[in-house]
Amino acid sequence: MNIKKAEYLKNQFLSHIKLFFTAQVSQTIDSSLIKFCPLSEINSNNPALYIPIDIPVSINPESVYQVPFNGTQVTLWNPIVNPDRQVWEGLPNENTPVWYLHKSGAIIPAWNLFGNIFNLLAFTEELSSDKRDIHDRFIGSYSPRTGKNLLEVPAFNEAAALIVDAVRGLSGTGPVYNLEGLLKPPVVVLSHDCDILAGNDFWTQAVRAYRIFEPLFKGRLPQVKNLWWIIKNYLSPRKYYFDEALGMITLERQFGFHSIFYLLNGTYGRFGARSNNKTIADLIKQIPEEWEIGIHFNYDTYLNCDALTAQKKQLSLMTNRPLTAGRAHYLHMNTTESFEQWQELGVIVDESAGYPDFIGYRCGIGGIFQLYDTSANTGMNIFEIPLVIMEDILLSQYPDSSVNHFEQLLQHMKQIGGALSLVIHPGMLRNPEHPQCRDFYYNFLRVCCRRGAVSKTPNQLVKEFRQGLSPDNQ
Amino acid sequence: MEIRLARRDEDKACNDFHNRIYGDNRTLEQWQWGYFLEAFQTDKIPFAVVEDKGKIVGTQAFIPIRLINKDGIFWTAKSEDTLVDPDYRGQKLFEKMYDLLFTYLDENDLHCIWGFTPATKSFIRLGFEIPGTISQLFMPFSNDAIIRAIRSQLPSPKSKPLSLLKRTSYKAATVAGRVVSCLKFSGIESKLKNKSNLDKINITITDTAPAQAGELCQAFIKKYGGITIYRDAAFIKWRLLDNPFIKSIIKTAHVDGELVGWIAYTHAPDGMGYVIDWIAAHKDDAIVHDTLLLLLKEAVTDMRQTGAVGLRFWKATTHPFDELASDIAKKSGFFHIKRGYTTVLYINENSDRKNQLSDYQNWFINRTFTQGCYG
Repeated sequence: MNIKKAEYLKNQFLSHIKLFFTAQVSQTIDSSLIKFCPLSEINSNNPALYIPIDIPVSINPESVYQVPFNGTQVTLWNPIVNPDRQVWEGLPNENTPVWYLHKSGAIIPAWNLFGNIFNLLAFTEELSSDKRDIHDRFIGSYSPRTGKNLLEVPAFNEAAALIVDAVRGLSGTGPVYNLEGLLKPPVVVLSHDCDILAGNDFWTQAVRAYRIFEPLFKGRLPQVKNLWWIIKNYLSPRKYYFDEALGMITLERQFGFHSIFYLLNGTYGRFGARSNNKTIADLIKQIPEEWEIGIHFNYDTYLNCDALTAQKKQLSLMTNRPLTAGRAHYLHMNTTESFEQWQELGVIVDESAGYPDFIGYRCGIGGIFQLYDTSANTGMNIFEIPLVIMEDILLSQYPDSSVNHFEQLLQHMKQIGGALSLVIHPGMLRNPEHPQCRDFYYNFLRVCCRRGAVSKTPNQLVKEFRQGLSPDNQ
Repeated sequence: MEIRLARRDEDKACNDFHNRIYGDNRTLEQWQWGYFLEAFQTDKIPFAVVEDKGKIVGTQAFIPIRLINKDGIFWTAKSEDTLVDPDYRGQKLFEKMYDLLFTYLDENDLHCIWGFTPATKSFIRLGFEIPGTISQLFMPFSNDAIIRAIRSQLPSPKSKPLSLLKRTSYKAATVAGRVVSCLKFSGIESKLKNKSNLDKINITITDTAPAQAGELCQAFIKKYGGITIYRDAAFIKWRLLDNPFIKSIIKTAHVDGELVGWIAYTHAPDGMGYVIDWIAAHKDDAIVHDTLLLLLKEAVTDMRQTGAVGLRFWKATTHPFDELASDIAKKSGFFHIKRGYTTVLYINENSDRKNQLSDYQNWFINRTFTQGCYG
């Protein structure tokens, strides 16, 4: 069974490398030199990179360590013991090895590369846990990586970067831990979940009304400014929401970026759609062609095919543009069933695999991968771009250094190759109800620009990623 | 110490010097964009440096820019990167660097040198004139717009933090200003000279430089006279679209397929919106007037939506177009603030356009004349 998993994982690596490394790398890297095989089949006399696929792995990360690589640090865990110190040498050193190099030139990873990475892509952490929050979600707090500060480690990207370095080194130089000139610019996948497009809906106004009096329960003065926002959005419903969506497009254009708008239609409610169809249709008309639109799966479509189909049908009536990208509202998804349902709906790329309580790499990857069907043991025809950063989570997790922290994540990605998927909601650009957001998106885009990032939309990324997959997997 | 023109491979050293003295983080790409011009290729770049013990301790540069007047297009130099290490001041290094650049001016037929600076004395000593001062047209979108403008851009005589009284006064003034601006701007379309122009003038956003830009610029000079930057498609691409500091949003206006105007604006890092360029020309004055009005409406709407705290642009001279544009802006809710940098101008004795160049009030100057850090 692991052979199929290995084939799948190798394909994801090769396609990732084609997407995020220069043509020079993808043309010169000989994929036959990367061998996923059982430990017993390693032919140490044949210089190649052997990745063992039968070493037992725990989902609880053990013995985490860091190694300097290409101007940053890569983080490894679940180390593998040196098979024989007489003939295998730990590189770059025996204390914190990345590789074991055989005297004859064969090389193997010094950590459980296959086990760690496959488990992350296949959502094994959550499939082997019963913990769920009130929305039936596996949240970041439940991940065994959280306690070890590993949620912000893009383990797949780091492994891919190390593999490129190691395979290039097979020609004689050995790994040089440097990728200078071999990486394409980092990619940002910008998105906007259009939960609310008009601030005069019942639930938004009701929450504001509640907030006026809420301080009284604690013996404080009422928050009268909420009344001001009620009046403002009553008189000018699209202010701070619909208008901000347009403002985001203008800002992105200024920085040469594009994004996707996930539109939430269907059942109205506290957790459902808050915008009427006319407002959504008006927004669609104003979204330029270079920007994409996608479907924001309504809360009530969770494991409900009929509701899902109805939502898509309703949205399709508002636009002729393809609705092949999606993200679940509240990130409300089930990793065993939702992907299949979305795939049946015609969705080819999803961006739901993020955490609602932490920023980070839920699948250990910053980029795109083909989802894995655990029952059929093969890649599915739907791709995942895991959500890495939700703006309000970043702002609450790093209130004093949110933009700097994002810059660190982006800089790390620049050194190893990959993409960051981010969501910024309309209503978080200049809305005075969220003063912490002021200038945030602007500074965010500025950082992307300064770090030389390019933006790609989900469908664009899928198209490029598919080109890198082997024909059987396309 | 050696005073000479910089070699092309000294780009990093020159930029590092700037960043060291100003505590800035200008990138090498930004430096190269400004000084390695495709449009003006010479053996040596007009970038004077003072080198001491292998270290750059002074810089003074030209950015060659083409201007246009009724006699045609001609090259001039914008003065930039005036900087001497504080440890080396008082040694007349600025003057010595300019000696080299004056020679460069003659050798390359540059008609004049111009620039904008709060520090005019050293330029006056070199024979520069001070023909005028830039002022601002300003529309506040946020209650702290004036305070942010004062803190970031307007050359303030005092660098002390603002007192509570001043802050309160500025805020009150901004609130009042916003009310007036909103009232004036809300009826902007009623100010059209000809209501049918609303359908006739086609406003579009573009990510490419308009091919007819050069022709429009020539038509502009033919209609309004004076001197301004020659904006052809190559210039717009370089200056506005490929600007590594900030790319501009450009909206064009066409009437029956003919380009009649454009506006370029940015949301800058200081939170302010800036109109970088705003130009129009057509035989029908009403079309020009209404084009400017509609383009301005686009800029205000877009910059408000992006969360800019206000929108500003330059008003520099009494050039007929500058007067027209500022009149339209004022009627649409902009305020005229008479505060800004001073212009310095040096006219090459050998120029055959001395008279026109010295008629500074007939120059049409806007933010395209700046280095481009804010677009």
